[in-house]
Amino acid sequence: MPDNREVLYFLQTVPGIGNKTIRELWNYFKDADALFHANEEQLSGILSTEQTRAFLEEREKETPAERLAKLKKNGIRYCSIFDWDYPARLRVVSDCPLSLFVKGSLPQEKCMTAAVVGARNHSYYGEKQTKLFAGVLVQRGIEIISGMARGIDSIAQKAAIENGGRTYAVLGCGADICYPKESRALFEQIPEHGGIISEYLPGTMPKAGLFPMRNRIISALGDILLVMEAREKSGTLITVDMALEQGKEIWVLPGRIDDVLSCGCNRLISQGAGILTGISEFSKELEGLQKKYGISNEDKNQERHKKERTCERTKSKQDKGMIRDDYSDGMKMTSLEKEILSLLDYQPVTLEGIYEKLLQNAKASHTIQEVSTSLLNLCVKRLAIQTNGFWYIRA
Amino acid sequence: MFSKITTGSIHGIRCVLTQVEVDIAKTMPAFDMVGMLSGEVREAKERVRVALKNSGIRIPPVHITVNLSPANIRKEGTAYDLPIALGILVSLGHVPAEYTENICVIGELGLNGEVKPVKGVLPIVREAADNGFKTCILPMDNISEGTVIENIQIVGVNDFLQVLDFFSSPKTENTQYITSKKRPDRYADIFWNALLKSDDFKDIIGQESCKRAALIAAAGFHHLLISGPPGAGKTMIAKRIPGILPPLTMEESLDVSSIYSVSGLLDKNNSLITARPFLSPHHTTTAAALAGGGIVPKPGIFSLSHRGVLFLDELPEFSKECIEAMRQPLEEKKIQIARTQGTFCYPADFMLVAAANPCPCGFYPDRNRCHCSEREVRRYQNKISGPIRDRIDLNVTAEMVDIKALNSKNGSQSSADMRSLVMNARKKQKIRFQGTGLQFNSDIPAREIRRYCLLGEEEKKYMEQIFYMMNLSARSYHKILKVARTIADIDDEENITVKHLGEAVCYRVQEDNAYAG
Repeated sequence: MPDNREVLYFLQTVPGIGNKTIRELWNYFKDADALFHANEEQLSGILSTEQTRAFLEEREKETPAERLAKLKKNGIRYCSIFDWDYPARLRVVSDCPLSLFVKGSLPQEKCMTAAVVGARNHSYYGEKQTKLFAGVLVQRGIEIISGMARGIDSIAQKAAIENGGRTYAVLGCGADICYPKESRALFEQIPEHGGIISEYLPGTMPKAGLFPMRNRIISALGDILLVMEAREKSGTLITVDMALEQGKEIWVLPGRIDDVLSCGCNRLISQGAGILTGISEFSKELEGLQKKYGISNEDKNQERHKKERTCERTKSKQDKGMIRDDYSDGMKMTSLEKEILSLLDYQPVTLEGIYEKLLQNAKASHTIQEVSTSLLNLCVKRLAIQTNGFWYIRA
Repeated sequence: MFSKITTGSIHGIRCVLTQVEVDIAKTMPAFDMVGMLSGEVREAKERVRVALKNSGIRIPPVHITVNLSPANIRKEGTAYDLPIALGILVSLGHVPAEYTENICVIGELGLNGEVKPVKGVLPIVREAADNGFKTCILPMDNISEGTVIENIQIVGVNDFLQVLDFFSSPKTENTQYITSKKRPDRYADIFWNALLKSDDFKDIIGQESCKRAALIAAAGFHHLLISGPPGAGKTMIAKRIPGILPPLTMEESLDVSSIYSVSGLLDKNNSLITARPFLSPHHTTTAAALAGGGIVPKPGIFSLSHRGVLFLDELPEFSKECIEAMRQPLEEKKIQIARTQGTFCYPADFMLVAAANPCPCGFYPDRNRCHCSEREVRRYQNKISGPIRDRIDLNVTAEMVDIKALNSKNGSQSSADMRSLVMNARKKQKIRFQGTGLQFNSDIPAREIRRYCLLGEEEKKYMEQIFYMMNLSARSYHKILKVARTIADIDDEENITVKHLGEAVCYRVQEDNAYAG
């Protein structure tokens, strides 16, 4: 006697039958066994002739149990809506997926989660803040949900792993396919530090049409949603819409009004989203939120443990900081260095750009040599960062 | 009777003096030519026979054998016509053999006896002069090339009868055809004047860091990469670089002119290259055009920019083959081309100035304008492969110029100011590298870095900090030291100090263009 989940998986693997049809079949037959052994006549009431033929053909091949066993062999867990461990956060969504394919684990029910999403073509500002806020979330034992896309998604998930936290990637392709390809390292790490989740059958290739659908899972799995950077009319805002539908709380990173990457975020703020004003403020907010969404003792212990680990980590980083010895007389700065620092920003500028700006507010003119050396001194003092060789930003 | 006339063969851009040996035997009438000849050389026999006939000289029915020696070098071109014709006349006894001693003969014959210009005159005349020849007979159209060379008489001829006329009296006494005896002294001026004709850096507004980098590049012969958005003035800067390099010396000019002579790019009005070459091939060019080639190899763009500036605008847009073809010339300052007939070696000691956009649209990292994905940016930047990146010492970014700046300011440093700094720095390098075979700071090999780029305690500590902070490799560390050496030379200082190092670090070339994140 095939059970519910086996039959469900069987139906999903029949070519030409989609989620909607499966729901119809289920509502009609009400019983897995009856559905599986239905005759052609019964089926043709709901299925088209082609679908019926495919159904019957597939049924002859193997028993549903055998079919499901094959999946297990590939290291992919099947979690259907009939299973007890199907995420409760998803169950309440109206068009929730019938099943999930999971590599690694699913988010813990008792642990608060946060979805972090943002633009693929992010700015340095977005990158930096994402790392900071991901760090805060992990420190409080909150699990991070995202889509492993280029840009903000990957940065958030990488930061979660680096800080010893747990993170879950919801993909728009099969759970066994790494997309984008350059995230291969992340793709391999995530199952050990959380899980890779997909509603699509293993082997499904990434298609543009699949991604908006997976966004509803991202927003549903997160108790709150953090939007780091978003253009107007972007995929990120689709996730936001879904989160709003699902009644999630949204937190947004504010930006300057003339930054296209902050337009979407600022719009959300004007519509009443929470504003990420700083990590300490957000950390305090999280305390309240965690009470609301519940956090178990076990998680608290975990949290403490993690905190210690992060401390160790920062300590070891400081040890390496022998680099930062007192060559430059601690933090004393020359007037030129101060002036340059005041011109630096999160928008990368070149040496030429800084020189031009200095010239415009010139009290005294400086040579390129003086400017470049001072810039480098700022880098040595860790007040500025040289990115990609030619550009400078504020640290 | 046997006779021997000297002429020259071009192999690569080198000249090999060649003997045209002619023998006449009174057996079955025939005209045979041997000595590894290409098609156009073998055809010489028809041209020579008819030209002689039309010049009023009757060739009796004899067996003529012509050998071009050394016979193991491939002979190409039409410059052998005149020496062959002359050799036949000597063999026939029309011209006394002793009159042709110490004379080098070059020229193509027309069927009417006219003497036509040929390619590669300059290196042949130069080689002849070096080997103690007294006189050189050239086509009239080529004499301006020939007269560049010292210590050799140049005889220009329009047709074969003039050649006969020249040999009608013993040797040097017949002076009516001799064009020049001595090179004028005014060449130094010519080189200076050529330099002053180039565009001035004064025209460039802003872009001070690029100008500074151009100055350093010129002073130490470092290769330079200018990145920046479209329309920022990268091309303008590159075009002005030859103008701040020191003027050509006679020796350099002859080297460069030889290459142009072999390529057939010299003419009556332009017999000597007086200004440093500046070549900017379009990015659709082929690797063969750059490196040189063809069945009969000809010097390519790399060699034509010898001792000058090769400007590659939009470097990432060049095909991969083109970019990779640059490896050898950048490393060895010459380029070798192997063909079935042998290996040809052309000099290619140029200063590479490359311009590149940071991404396909050109505005990265300004995210308000640039929509390129990280991957596109990385792929675009990685088109300049590691080995090429390694050879480039300096990297600067040009910025968009603001309208306010365009209207208000004048460029600060003029080319003349910059040139005097360059020449001063060059002088210091000349003294430093005396007797070592090195020329410029950019040539310093890794094992000699310690010797030439000595750092004090303070500087060492400073570099150590930067080394760790920026995750430098040994190679970029060395490059920074070499550039710092040049900057110190420009500043007229003996020791490299922190400010030189700091500036050099700002121009370093990123090895790995992976997104710093």
